[in-house]
Amino acid sequence: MKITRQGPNRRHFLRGAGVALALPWLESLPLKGAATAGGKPPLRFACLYFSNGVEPEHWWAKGRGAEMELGPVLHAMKPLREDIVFLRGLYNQQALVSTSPHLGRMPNMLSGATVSLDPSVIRVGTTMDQVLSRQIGGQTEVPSLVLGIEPNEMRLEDGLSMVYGSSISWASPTKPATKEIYPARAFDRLVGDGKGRRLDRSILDAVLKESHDLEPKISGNDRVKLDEYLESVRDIEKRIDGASREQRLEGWRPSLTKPNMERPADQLPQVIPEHMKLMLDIVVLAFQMDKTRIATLMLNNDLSQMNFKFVDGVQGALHLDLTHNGHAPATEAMYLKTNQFHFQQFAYLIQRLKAIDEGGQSLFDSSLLLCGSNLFDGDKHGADQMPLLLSGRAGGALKTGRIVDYLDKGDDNRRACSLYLSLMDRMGVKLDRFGDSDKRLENLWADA
Amino acid sequence: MKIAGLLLGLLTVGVVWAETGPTETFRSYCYQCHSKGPGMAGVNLVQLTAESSIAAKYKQWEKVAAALEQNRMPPKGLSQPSDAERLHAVSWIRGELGAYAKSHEGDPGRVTVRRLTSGEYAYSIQDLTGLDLNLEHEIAGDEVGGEGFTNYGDVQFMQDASMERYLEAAKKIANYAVIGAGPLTFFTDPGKTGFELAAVSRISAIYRDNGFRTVSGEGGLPYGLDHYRKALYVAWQYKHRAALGQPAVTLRELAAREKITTRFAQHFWSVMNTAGLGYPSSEIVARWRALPGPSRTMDAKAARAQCDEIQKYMVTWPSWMFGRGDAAVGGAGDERPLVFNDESLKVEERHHFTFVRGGRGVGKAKPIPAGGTARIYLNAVLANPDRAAIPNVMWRNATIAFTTIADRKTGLAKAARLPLRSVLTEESAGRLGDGDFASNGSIAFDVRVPEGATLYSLQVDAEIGKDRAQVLRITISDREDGGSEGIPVWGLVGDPQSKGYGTWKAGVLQYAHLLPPNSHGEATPADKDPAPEPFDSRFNTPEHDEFLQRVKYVRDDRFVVEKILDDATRGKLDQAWNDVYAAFEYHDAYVRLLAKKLGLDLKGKGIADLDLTAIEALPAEPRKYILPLRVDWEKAMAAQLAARPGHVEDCLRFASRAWRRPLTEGERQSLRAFYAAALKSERDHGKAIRALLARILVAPAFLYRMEPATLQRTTVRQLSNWEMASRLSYFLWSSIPDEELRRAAAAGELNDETRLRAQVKRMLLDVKARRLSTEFFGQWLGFYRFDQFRGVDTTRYPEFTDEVKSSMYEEAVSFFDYVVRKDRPVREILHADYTFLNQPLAKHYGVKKEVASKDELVKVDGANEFGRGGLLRLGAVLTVTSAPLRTSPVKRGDWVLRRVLGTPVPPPPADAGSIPADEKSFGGLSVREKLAMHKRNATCAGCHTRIDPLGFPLEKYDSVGRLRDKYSDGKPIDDSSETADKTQIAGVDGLVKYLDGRQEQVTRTLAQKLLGYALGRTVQLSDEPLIARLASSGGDATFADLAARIVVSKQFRNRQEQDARPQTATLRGTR
Repeated sequence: MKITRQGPNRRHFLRGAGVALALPWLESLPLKGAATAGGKPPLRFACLYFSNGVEPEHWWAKGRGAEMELGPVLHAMKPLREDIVFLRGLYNQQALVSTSPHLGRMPNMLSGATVSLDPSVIRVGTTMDQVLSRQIGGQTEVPSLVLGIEPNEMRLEDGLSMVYGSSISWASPTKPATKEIYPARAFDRLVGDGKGRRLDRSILDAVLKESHDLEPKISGNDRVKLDEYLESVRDIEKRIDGASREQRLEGWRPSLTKPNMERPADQLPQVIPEHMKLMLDIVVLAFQMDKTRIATLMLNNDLSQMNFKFVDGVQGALHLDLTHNGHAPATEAMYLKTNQFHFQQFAYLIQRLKAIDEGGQSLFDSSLLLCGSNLFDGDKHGADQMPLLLSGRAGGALKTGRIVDYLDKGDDNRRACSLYLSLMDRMGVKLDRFGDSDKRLENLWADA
Repeated sequence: MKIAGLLLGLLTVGVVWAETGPTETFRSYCYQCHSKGPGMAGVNLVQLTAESSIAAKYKQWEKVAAALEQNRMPPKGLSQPSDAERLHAVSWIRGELGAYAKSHEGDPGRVTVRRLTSGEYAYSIQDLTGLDLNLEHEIAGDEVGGEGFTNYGDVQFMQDASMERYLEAAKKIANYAVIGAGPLTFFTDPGKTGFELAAVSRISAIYRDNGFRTVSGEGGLPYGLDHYRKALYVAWQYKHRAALGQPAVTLRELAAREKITTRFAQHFWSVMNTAGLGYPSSEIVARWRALPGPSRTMDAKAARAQCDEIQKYMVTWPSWMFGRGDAAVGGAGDERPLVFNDESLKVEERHHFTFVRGGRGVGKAKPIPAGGTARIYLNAVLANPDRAAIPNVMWRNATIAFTTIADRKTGLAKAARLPLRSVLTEESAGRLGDGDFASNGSIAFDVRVPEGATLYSLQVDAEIGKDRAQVLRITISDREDGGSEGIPVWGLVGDPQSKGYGTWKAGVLQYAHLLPPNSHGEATPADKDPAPEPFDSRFNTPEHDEFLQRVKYVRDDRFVVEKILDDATRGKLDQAWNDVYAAFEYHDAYVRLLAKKLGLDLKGKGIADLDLTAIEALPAEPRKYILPLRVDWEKAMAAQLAARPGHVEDCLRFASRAWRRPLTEGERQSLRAFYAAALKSERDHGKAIRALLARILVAPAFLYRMEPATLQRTTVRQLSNWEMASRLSYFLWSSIPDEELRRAAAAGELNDETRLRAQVKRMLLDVKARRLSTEFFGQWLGFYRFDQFRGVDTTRYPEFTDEVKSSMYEEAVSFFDYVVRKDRPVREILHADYTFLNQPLAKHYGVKKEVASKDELVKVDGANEFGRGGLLRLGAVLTVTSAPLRTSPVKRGDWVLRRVLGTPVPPPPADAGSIPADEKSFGGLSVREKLAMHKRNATCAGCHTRIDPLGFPLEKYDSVGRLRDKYSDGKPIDDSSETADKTQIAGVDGLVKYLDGRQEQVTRTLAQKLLGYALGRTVQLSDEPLIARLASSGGDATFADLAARIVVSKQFRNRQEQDARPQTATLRGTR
């Protein structure tokens, strides 16, 4: 299997590159997750992020199963209410106490790390999707998909780099995972099979050698940067090598071998709903073809000025005009519509996954899906809890159609990082500790 | 953790703090808010005093000092320190900061290796290849860090996905390389097509720069016409060199002065001194010889004027002869090619002419006077002038037919042909007589036009008269000047057997050989150009068209090669032709068509199979054509092969430019070895070269601005000359060093302060310095890539078109480019009374003043009068500081504080309220009234009394940068404000004035940002002395002053080594 071939090399390399130093506890982990041996489809994890929170009054759920009632934000989820878990009360202490109301409150989504408030130091924390990517991403051609709709914003926000607001996936504490916003390029990553790349391989070999020759002359932070470079080159080489070998997974095969959608146009789509739909289709395609099992998608950046005029009855930009609406009824109604729109995207993803058959069960049955925002009350930058929704059946482990309420369980029992540990468990990566938590979320899994 | 920090603190700040610090003052007045957790506004004085060095968080210390100095802290209503306590606290902080700055002045600081930003990447490629490939959007996106710039190493990440993009981009660039018989170059079109087009464009450029065409056929314009004029003048000067007082002057020198080649001057001189030339060369020589020698009246100007006259004759003669172009009796628009051969110089004893008046091209024609009379001219002149002779011609069988223009297609064939005499007016009939008639020279007559006729067709035969030696040039038209309201007709009449004709034809061919009107045929023949022998050269024949489609290019440049080009250019021309031949199966196509034409069965053999033996075996006629083709082909193939080693060397030079330093011997070898390996595996020279180029462009040495450690255990080292060249060029040009910088680096000049200053000056005059305006000013002031700004709701503002948007962007860029490159004092950034406009932008702004240019932006003076000019009135700035549907005085005020004054306020508290989106939905409250709430709320007031007064003065500009006099709800605009220190500001003029009083602060911000941009790091306390010096020059400094002082500073010219011990062991393990 690929994993045994890759494992030692990769880790060996990482140690050298100094990247793994940030995650020393990963070293001894058994590389599980290739849950394909029994002939069952592997689990897929996706996270959809929307920025700027919700209006708390509009975010609620009551009851369970078919009787579950949902607040207006979750309007689109009504037909799917038996497919979701409403998570109430999770939060992250680091985000809550940060003095930076926006950027400082980003990492509660997926890492629980602290944003460096020193403008000369870029540092946050590796996110759970990227931990997965590093640990089990080698099982597929593309370790993980990191997608977005809006480009990185090129400015400082209160002296801090907007990189924090433009990334929910961090490959290392000092490096965000490259976010792809071009549907065509994301698509190409899935179909490019590395064959016929003999010359590329030799080019990469040559520059790799050159970089090694440089090593003795490089020190300090420069070394970190050169290591990023080296690792990138190695990753491509591995993909080329892997692709030119025959793929043989025992027992289970993806239900699709060639894309069943057209290659998107080269340009960035001008209409945002179309852009989002394309990105979601690409996530579905990647899962169906088993090109990757890990995906994140930022529907908008933090502090997004996305103009929501494409939603009927909405005018203005998400952050400045709609989130901070001064509780003027008309604008607050528009803000609600933006939230509803975000959950329509989530609903679309769920419906598509449910419609795909993977030999007697749907792709949705083998999925683990998270949708949410880092802020609760968007107008007040509230981070005392996070609006989060979980979906997918996780191979039967997730019992849906219910509310899991942690709000009154005490702060230690409502850590977002506990959720991330639990999710990683399911994906086959068991860590002792992640962020500020060393325990799993209670009452989440059917078999726990 | 905390204890460790405190311990560390005790050794440094802490010790000093404990002994001399204003401990009690802080404890009594500040700790209440600033000692726990992150502290209010992010300031925790307990932590601050525990830092290892006062430099670590010096900006916070400065904030504390400023807050105390300006009595902003403690907030009103809380107990206040005494003046003495306040003074002590401030002077302690300032003293400590100053002492540190002084002792660490010029510390280069920690600079992480910088990857090229997307902008730098695109510019570097542009300067390397000469091509603008718009790559900035194809490679990994940028992030911003440090002082707010993308060139900050820590935010420049690399991942496999970004590396893939670099690899893609590199391969794409390599595909633009032209790999042929010449040196490696790049061309605007990629791949095989690009290779072919590149070759043709090189050929055309050589022809255009060196050759001339007086009549250039279909769609072409004449060019190079001054060649003969200059040659005439050179020959005249040379002839009279003694009289002109320069007896020793050579033709070469004279030619050089006139910028023609020696070869051409020599050729022309020898023709002018050849006796016994035939007509028309004889006429040209005679005219030149008749030029008077130098005298008071025949000065240089007069001589040139007279040469011009001769040149005009030379240009017009062929046009006259063949009825072309302006001089054409044949009329303008005649696009038949000008060739001199048996076919074009053919004469007939009797020639049948048809002249249709009102036929094709009738659109412009005036109708013939139906029911009146029409005059027709039969012109006959001697083509071989003999002053004594009178042209004598017989006109026979003249008939005419009438119809209407509308019915010309079918009507004309059906119309009765009437004998000419039956429609002649009485007067004309009297002159012409009854039947055929003779004329001595030209003749005209009138015909009666029947009622309703709008078109006539005259047919007549012209026959050579009594003097058989004459060659007659005949034209028929309806105008005395030979012009025509119809398609004119032209023809030569003469006796092909006569001696007169023989002499004339030999003369014309000689002229075409010695003094041709066209120095060459274009490489890409136009539709109407002839195909070479033996193909049917006539326009629109299948054979002619097939030749032009399949073979495409014709080399017909004997004159320009033999009589004009110098040796070096000849070589380049041959290389380019060889590339054309190699670009596709040129010779195979040619041979196939020859075989078809000559009925030859080559049994599928191509040019490569037709070796000398095979060609010898061919019949004589095909052999005559195929042999030279084979010779050309062999030359072309040999040239391709011969150029290959050169390409590898070209790549090495390319690598040295791309990597911004000389290559080491090891690198040269490894690049060569890479080529050799790629050639072996791909078996294709072109592929191997392209792979080599791609490999050079994905190397860390290109993508990263490496400043490697020297392995010496020093903490600070001076940068090498090559490193300095890179720093300079990326600072001022966002790109690789040019040849001059490379020369200076090689000569070791870049550690000399004077020379560095001179380089800065030179570089800032270069057009590449415009990139400072896009990259530095754009990022500093927030209009970076404004041409792609998406923050305007174009449903509400449909007038904010892409054209307006990109014009606004160009306005901002052009403005700063002007300030930088025209060396204006930096005060003008705020004060300029000019701006840059085109018509769409002027219209958008509502500027009444006339702006000449439709697209390119032009400088418009006196702009303040109509509300433009200077940074604060730039449309791009006013737009980016607005919300999509309204202006935002808070955003604008914050922008002024942060970006212009460099004194940002802390972020608002997380739970700050907000104001509604749309100015239409304020619920009766104006923005001002809404924001007045800021003042009433103590939490807000601290910052907003600083922010808002700087935003309101810009309220008369709407959210897309236009002046307005009321809000869209009709409410009046009040653009006055009062600052925290009670200064009244009235409108944008008031704001400019207010900032003028703070010019030193503005210059300080510029200096700080510029330093951060130049160094790729945040500024630190040890930069303070430099920044203070730069700031003290206030508004009088020019950008070049500031840039030069940064370039010669210690921090720019040195590098801090970090952790110089290599860690090779672990990394080796990864292989």
